[in-house]
Amino acid sequence: MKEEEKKEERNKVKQRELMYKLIISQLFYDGHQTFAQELAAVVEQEASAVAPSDRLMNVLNIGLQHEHEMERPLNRLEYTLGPGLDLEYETEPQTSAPEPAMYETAYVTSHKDKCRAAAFSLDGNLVATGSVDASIKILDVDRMLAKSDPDAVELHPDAVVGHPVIRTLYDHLDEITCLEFHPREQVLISGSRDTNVKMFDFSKTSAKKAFKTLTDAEQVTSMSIHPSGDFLAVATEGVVVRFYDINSGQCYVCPYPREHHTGPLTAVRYSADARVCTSASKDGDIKVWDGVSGRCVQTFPKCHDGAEVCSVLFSRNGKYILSSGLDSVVKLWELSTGRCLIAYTGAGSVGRQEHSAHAMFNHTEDFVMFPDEATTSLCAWDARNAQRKNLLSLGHNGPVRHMVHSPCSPAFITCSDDYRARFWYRRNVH
Amino acid sequence: MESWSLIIRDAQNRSIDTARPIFERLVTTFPTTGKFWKMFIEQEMRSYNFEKVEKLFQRCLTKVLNIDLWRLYVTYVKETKSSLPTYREKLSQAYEFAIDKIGMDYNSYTLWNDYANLLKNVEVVGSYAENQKIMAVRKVYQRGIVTPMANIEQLWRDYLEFEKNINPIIAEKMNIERGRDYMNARRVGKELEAETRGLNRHLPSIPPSALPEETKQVEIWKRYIRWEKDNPLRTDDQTLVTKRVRFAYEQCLLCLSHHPDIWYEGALFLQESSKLLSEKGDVNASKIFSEEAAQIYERAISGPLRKNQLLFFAYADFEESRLRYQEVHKIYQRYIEMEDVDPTLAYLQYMKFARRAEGIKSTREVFKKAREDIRTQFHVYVGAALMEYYCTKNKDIAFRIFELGLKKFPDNADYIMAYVDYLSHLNEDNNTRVLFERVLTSGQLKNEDTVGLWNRFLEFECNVGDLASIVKVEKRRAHVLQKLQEFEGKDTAQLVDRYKFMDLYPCTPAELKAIGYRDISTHTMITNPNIPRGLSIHEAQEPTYARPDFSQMIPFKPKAKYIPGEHPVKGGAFPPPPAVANLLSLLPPPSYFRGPFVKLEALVDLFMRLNLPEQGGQWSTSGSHDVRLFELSKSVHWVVDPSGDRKRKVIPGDDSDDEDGNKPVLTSDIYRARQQKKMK
Repeated sequence: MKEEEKKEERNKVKQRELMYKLIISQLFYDGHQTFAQELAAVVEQEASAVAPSDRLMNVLNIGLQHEHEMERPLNRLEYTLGPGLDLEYETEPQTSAPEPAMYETAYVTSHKDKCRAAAFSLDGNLVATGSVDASIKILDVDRMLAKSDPDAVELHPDAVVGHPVIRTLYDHLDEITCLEFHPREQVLISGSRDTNVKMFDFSKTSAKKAFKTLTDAEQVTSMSIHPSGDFLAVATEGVVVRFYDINSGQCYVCPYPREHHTGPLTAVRYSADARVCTSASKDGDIKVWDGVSGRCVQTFPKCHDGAEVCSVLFSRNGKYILSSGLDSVVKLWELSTGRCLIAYTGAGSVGRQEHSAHAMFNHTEDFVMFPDEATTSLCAWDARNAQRKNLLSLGHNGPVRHMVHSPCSPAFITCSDDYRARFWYRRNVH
Repeated sequence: MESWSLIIRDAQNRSIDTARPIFERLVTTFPTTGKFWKMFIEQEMRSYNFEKVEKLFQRCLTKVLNIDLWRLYVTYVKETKSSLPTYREKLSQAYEFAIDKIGMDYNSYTLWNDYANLLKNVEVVGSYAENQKIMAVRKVYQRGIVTPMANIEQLWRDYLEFEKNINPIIAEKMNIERGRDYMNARRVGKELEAETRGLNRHLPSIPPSALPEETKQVEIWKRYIRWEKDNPLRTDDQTLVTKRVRFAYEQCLLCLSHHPDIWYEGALFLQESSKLLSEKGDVNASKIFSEEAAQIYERAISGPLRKNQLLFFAYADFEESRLRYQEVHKIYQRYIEMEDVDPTLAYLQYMKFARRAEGIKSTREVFKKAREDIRTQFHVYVGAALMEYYCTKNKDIAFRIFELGLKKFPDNADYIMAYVDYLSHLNEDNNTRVLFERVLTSGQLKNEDTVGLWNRFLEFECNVGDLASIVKVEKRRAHVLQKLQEFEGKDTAQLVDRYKFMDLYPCTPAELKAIGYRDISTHTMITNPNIPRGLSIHEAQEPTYARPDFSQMIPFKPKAKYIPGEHPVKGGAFPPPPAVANLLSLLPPPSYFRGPFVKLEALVDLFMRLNLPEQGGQWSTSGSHDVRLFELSKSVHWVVDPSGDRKRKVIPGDDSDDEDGNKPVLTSDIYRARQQKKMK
């Protein structure tokens, strides 16, 4: 077995060498001598040993003819929501998704204190927001849209649209730091600075209190629910990522002390297939944990040049991690090679960022978004080539500390220290 | 769609004379979209072309039950007819008309309200007229408050107000009488809002595209209709229920007029409720609904789905069930007379109907017509021949029809196969053989097509002929195959054909593959059902996710004050074993413990003398699973950190140790406290 693997490895190296050789000969063929020589020097190929040739072009033509025959494997999430970002298959896709700058505020909801957490349900029909005042609101997306629909308001000023806030939940004693919807049931999970994780059954209108509480000893900063809905990964001000069994309430951790972070955790996220889980910490590292054994399988040390890492999330196919740091740079990491593929720069150029902020993809993963703190506007990039897109002014009077995009429609929600959460949406124009 | 929206925006900015043709095309493309009609009419109104407006209203109003359009209509009447002497009558007529048609809409509040106000403001002279007026207003209100809609509360309040102004006693009585109906309507109104939430009533109707957005809309519409069918008002009045469901279907069809299933279901529903009513003895209503069902079909096949055979046939069957054969004939003829369709299937259905309703004679007439139609395909001949054979049991006529067809379709292998089937089932060996020879030697068939026939011939000979003729046919077949340059030198493969029966083969699939055998008739490699084919994306996705294996991890109980060495991982301790944790959760917290205190020595003594059973019972329902996990994880722990051995004892269950130490103090404290209390 091992021999075979080695052989394969060697083959790969050989093929890569061949590819560079072809590139160099193509460059010679097309008359770019200087580039060819430079490249040859870089890849340590003797330039003289390569003849100018058009072979690469021919091979490319043949390859392109057959490329569409390759079937791109999709996981379940991608199958239901459409394929997301995958640089192995497409580098210049045509996107139909609206650019982030075209979104408009559709609804604003206020808390009594700073708004710090938000979540979308998996079907994109519900939104939850959480605040420092320890309250949680659940909002209905359709009602928010109906309320703000210019046509409807004009035509039916008298029509009673139900109030968008369908539930308000008070059961925490301190700031709500993170929210998650259960993937299958009508359950909302919240994490708070009061060190508790609580679960609310919001199917009943009267429910205000949690039906289940997981008590931690440290302030919860982030959590991610296992796609089966049976387990919960929790990040706290402590250094250890916890895996809770929701049914029994038992907590488990990786048994090897050396594999854990060395600073307080800021984010944790499961991939769509739950095979891996990633976590970020104030120590500047991102770690990837095995979804089965709970062991650390990969560490990206000092990803943001030592700055605190504020958010991490997986792309839909689980091949990439999108991270943001206090250095205002958003980075895309490839898991298979373990390196940074793309850095999205340009945010934070006006003023230094002081608070943590979250980066996100749009629902088609064609764009990357990140709020700029100094100007309270939204920076957006093309996810594939890091080209900057137009800014969107977010209209908040305080830094945007959290934001999350709907998994299936052009909608996102921003939470700000000005006590408000804004719901943004891109309407279809007819 | 995008391009249309551009055109519309452009047209709105132009003057009506230049934009008219554009709008005209728009409303012919989307004849059910109220929004577009409204735009068109508004544009006309802006330039005061009232005659045109009137005509447009005539064209769209009854067909498009869109609340906005109707409201526009009422405003239009209000504005333009104010100079006429019969203004009030006209206006109240318009309102009456509107309420009748669209008063069931959820957003119809303004309509009801305006109508009531209009009637209220009529100036009348004399007590008789006054009474008439009151009666009219009351009637409108009473109809309004039992209709579920938005703002029904307001209408109810206005109504009570109105009654109070006339006579407080009657108002009270009415309040009690009507209150329940109103509450019911209000509840249903709320539910209606919830059911239709997310529904976009302004979506233009386009052919189904199966986009996720569209599927969602269709789903919501269907849910809404289902909800209406469940009789949310809980009324016994079947007519009202049917009317409401019908209204829901109408609304739905405005957006989904290209979906045949909605049309069919709508008509079917009316049909069923008509049957229900006739069983109850309400012949009139039953008749009306059945008439309406026919109308729905009629509209469907004259509207956007005018080429949908499914609806045509369903309509025909419906008329047939009402025994209106004349209508059925018309329907079929209508479809057949369309220029750009393939009428074969329609002819076949038509023939079947004719046989059912009028017997074989009428069928023959239809068949004659079908024969004269150049567009028909061979299926008609097969259908007609078999029908003759099955119904009249007359072999000769069927035989003649087949012969006739053969003249017209001598080069169609499928037809010939059907003919062969017929003959061989009649056990006419010689005739069959003659037919084979005739067809195969005529040279009118392409070589590729004859392969199937040769196979069939071979099979036929295998079944009825002797070995010599089998071999002979096989040879001839091989000759043809050679021309097609297949099976070169694969004699064995051809032998397989002689021995196979249905899907039984004389060799194993692997052997067949090795021989190079292919099913000639289909030109595909033989597939073995035992070997799974390429999985589609659906199946490839296993629904199970990777699940954490807690036996590889270590139990952890987060602790605010971490004592170094307490747990290999910083920041926590070991949780008590599940059994103890379970017990602890059942016990009251230690702070509640105020005695009585046990003599420890005696208790331990008792324990020592206790005879424990060999097997303990289960300690909890949630399971031995946890215990096992705990044991497992404990063992992992020992491997990692053998020094942890000592620490394991630090579990919350040991709290009692401390309490023991405090015991004397505690008791005395309580004792003293009580003493002091008594003193006071």
